[in-house]
Amino acid sequence: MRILIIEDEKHISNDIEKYLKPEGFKCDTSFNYLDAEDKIISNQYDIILLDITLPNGSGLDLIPIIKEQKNNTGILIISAKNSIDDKINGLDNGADDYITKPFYLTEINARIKSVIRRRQHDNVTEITFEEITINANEKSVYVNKQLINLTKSEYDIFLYFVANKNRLVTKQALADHLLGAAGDDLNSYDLIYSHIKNLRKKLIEAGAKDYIKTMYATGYKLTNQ
Amino acid sequence: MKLFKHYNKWFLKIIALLLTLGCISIFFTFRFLFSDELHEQLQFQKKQLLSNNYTFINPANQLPIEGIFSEIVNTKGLETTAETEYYNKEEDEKIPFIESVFYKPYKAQYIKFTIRKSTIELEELLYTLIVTIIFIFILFTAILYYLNRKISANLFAPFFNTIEVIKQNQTFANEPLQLPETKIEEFTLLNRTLNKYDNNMRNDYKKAAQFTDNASHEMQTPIAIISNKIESILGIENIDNNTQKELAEIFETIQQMKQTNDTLLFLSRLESKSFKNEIECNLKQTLISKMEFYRQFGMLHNLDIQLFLITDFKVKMNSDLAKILIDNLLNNAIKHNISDGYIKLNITETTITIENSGLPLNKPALEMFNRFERSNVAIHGSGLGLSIAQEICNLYNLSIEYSESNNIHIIKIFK
Repeated sequence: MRILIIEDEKHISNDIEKYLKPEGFKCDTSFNYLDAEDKIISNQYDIILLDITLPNGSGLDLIPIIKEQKNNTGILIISAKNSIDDKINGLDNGADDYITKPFYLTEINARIKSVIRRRQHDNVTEITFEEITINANEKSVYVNKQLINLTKSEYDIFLYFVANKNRLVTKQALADHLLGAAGDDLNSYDLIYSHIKNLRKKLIEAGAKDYIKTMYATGYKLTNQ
Repeated sequence: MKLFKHYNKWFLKIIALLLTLGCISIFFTFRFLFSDELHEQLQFQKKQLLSNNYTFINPANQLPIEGIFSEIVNTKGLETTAETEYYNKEEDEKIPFIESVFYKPYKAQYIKFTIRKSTIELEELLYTLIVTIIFIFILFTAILYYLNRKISANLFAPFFNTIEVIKQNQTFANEPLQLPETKIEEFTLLNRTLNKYDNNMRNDYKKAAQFTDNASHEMQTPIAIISNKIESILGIENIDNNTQKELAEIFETIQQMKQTNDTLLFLSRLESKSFKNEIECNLKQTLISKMEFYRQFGMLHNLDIQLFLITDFKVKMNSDLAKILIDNLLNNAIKHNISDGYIKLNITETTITIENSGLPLNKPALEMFNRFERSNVAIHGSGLGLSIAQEICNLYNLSIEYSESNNIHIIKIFK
């Protein structure tokens, strides 16, 4: 999988790159419009992370250029602007998803995987983690091919964990992913804890190993190591 | 009191005073002039009688009212000129007249001349004159009053126009007032001054909004960098528990900073009325769509959430703001609740009532809409939720009220 990170803030770009490398992505970075345009034309990317505000151009203008390449490239917009207008604008232009700065690295990783999954030709919607299989179309989870009954929140959490397998998922990122801004003021960690407790119980009862580990003071990790 | 009424009050008072004074002075002036004229006539006749050899003798005791009378007397009496009255028994009225008595030597005796002139015409004339003047004055005042009314309504039209434009201009942050020039210099001056004031105000407002916007915007990148770096470090294995805990706290603080920053940015956008795309939103539907989300929080505290959604509550507004409004209200009801408490949601065509159990307020309920106002500082939150709810309500002319009694908190929104 080849990714182009178009982001003028080098720190952010580097952090994304460093985070994505262990996931098996081959990353290119671009810090301005012209260089980005050049890379888009000369290479074939599976997904492009696109910052809207760039030196010498708007990231939104790169979308038609990406589309012209006909490489079935997924586009994930990154922007500091969290105005709703920008969001609509980006998605109308043909971007697959939209994420605002500041974001969590686990979140961007999950979004990238979701975009790739939706873009795949052969419509592979099954994700396997050890004895557990997720069917993203049905939004269902199987343990040893046995369907288990998860709530929507439990399913979302598990999918997020699988996208970020063997990586720390902070409780903050999880709360943000699951509850969004509406959960900011609420005791969302208690809720997350309660959902994870139920999810673990269901997975174990269905015969899966206890892969979800609680990490000291920080969050959780889905791990098979 | 309206300016015109005020003006009229004075106008009428002054007119009444002028009318009274005018009538009195006219009365006395004319009276003086007439009587002066009569006196002159008397003097003229007296002079003629004294200079010529007139010796009229009239033996009648009763003198007629008008005329010159004479009689021969032995001694010269007092010469007088006086205004006096004659009482007419038959008609039961007093007839005023002026009488001049003088003497002329006549063969060792005297002729006493008496000239009388009736002043009744004078009195009648004066009376008629005064009545006429009063009538003309009253008529004049009435016409003036009517014309004033008409004219001032016309004159003040640009003024009321200005007021109306200001009233109508809800989106003052975006659009200038554009008050027109009028034919009246004073109102043109008023409009120009207001336009200038409005421009300055909008500029200041824009600068303030721009500052918040820029500050929040510029903060996003550094926050993103710190957040990403700590998230990366946290993921490294073999960090000792102490460091891990410290880093987790920094990470948590950064997220709070991000939330506050986002909220401030949102508030500044809300105030500058950047949210357009108004559609008809049914807040009942918005609320129903949020219930699953909030019920999971309710379950954490064993809250009893009861819905009494009788009718639709439709408002023409931005649909994202509708969601945010409902979010903030439900958020508040859950956050400030007590274990095993309750939330009652009631919707009628014109009101949304959110009632919840909770702790007593230690501040006046009205202050709860202030920014960063929290009754209980121990509760996690930005302290901006109700302030945002109020801002959204204001934007769409909805009223919002907070009340608390016996630990029952009620927020009411009504059209």
